[in-house]
Amino acid sequence: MLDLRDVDVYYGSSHVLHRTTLHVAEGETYALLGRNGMGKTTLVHTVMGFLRPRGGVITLAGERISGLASERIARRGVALVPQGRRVFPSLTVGETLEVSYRDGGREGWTLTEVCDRFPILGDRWGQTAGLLSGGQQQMLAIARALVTNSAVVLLDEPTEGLDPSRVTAVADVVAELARRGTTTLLVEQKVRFAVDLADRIGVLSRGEVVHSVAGGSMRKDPAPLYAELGFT
Amino acid sequence: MASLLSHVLNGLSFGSLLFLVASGLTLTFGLMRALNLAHGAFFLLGGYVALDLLGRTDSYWLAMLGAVVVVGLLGVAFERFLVHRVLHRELAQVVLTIGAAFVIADQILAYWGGRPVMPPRPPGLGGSVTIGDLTFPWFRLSLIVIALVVFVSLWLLINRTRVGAMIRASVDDEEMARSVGIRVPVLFMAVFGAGSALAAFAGVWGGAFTGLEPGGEFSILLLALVVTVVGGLGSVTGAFVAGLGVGLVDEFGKSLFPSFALFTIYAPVALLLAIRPRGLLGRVER
Ligand SMILES: Nc1ncnc2c1ncn2[C@@H]1O[C@H](COP(=O)(O)OP(=O)(O)OP(=O)(O)O)[C@@H](O)[C@H]1O
Ligand SMILES: [Mg+2]
Repeated sequence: MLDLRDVDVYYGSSHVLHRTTLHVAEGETYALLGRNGMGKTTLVHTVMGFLRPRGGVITLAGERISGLASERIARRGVALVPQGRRVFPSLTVGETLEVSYRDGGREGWTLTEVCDRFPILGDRWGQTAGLLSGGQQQMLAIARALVTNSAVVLLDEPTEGLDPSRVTAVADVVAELARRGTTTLLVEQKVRFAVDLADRIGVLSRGEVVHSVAGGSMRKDPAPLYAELGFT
Repeated sequence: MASLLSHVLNGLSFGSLLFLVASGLTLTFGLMRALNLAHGAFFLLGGYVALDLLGRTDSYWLAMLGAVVVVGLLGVAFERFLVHRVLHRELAQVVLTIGAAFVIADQILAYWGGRPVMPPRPPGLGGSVTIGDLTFPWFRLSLIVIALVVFVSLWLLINRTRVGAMIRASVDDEEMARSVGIRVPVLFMAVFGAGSALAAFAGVWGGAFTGLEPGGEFSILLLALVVTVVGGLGSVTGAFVAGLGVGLVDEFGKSLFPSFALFTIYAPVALLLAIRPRGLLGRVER
């Protein structure tokens, strides 16, 4: 569904993604792990079109999306829950969801449905997003991506800084995405969280996917992953 | 008493004109950070196009509509083909849009000559109103009413409509706005067109107040920039308050200290910005 082939990304002269290759199958939940600064955010930003690869190609369902403007990539069916939330501070919760909403048919997310899932959004419908707490903003950032009803959802460390009850809520959303057949690329630092949810797991190191294993095998014994990530 | 009221009304009507010009700048410069120094030239061009069309059609309203549409479309093309390429590059914007201002003013000179002209006043607003022992032209009062209408409409558009929310989202975080599928370039092009159309409207309606001549584009631009900056970048409410404020300060300054006409505008502005660098109601810079 989502394919990166030999993707090279630079910031100026600093080379961050080195001929990165990654394949996420349709309906699959793929967890991408990696230590700080290894290029995980760079990778999802490149898929979303915030950054242009200097080499390689990214395809979505077989069609090239690398080089397109972000809004066109979005309309082809890619959504992003960015690291650090990045809600629109001057929009209310309701406005945020309304401008992001695209009809997803019978199986799609509706505004009512995301408010059922995250009741705080319904309660704060008229409140400016900039005034929500960090945790509330993260729920909004997730809901904003859901209501675009995209075939591919990229989540960049969605549990960063959340309290345990909210981490569970995020896990439920990832599981629900899998149930609906959405292709999900989950970037995580929390190995346990990723292992529990992912069909497959990859480790990004210095811009290369160095390890790619089935989630099931890691669930019983994630020790090799910890080793790969440099934890002891 | 009558003279005080007349000064207040004069100040408010001039301030209304300033707001009309500045409202377009607030949209383009304040919201998109696209500094359009050709804004004053669009004001001027609006007035001249309307005068020209009036000669051909003999209908004030057709001429007004034509000028607003022509200059609005010119603004759209200007954004699409030129300004768009220099978004986020301030110096390039300054050079490009100043250049455009000179080109437009030069073309006005070539087609319509360099003599000052006075666009006609809107039909039906020729008379005066008498309040006590003060008579005040309807036309000047109408400027205040129109500024109010434009202010309320813009405020509602930006704060209470879906398109307004999309504009604010794009200004808040352009990348994220694009990532939810908002066509930011189309939106900015439309906003730029609307800003140019507003300048043209001000040129037709307000030109009948100030008169028009090539060279006038920079004096009106300077005042509009002052209003935009004093009001706070991106704030329509700020521009409205600042427009009326600057109009009043100018009127009273001129009558109290006639020999310091420009000084009476710029001194209080400099003082205000020293105390509040982001203007009256500006957003905090990200
Ligand atoms: N805008 C930028 N300009 C220059 N270098 C950058 C920029 N953003 C990131 N980098 C560098 O690129 C490398 C990869 O950064 P990236 O943010 O993709 O890592 P990450 O894996 O997401 O890290 P984290 O787990 O901390 O979020 C880092 O060395 C970082 O310093
Ligand atoms: Mg990151």
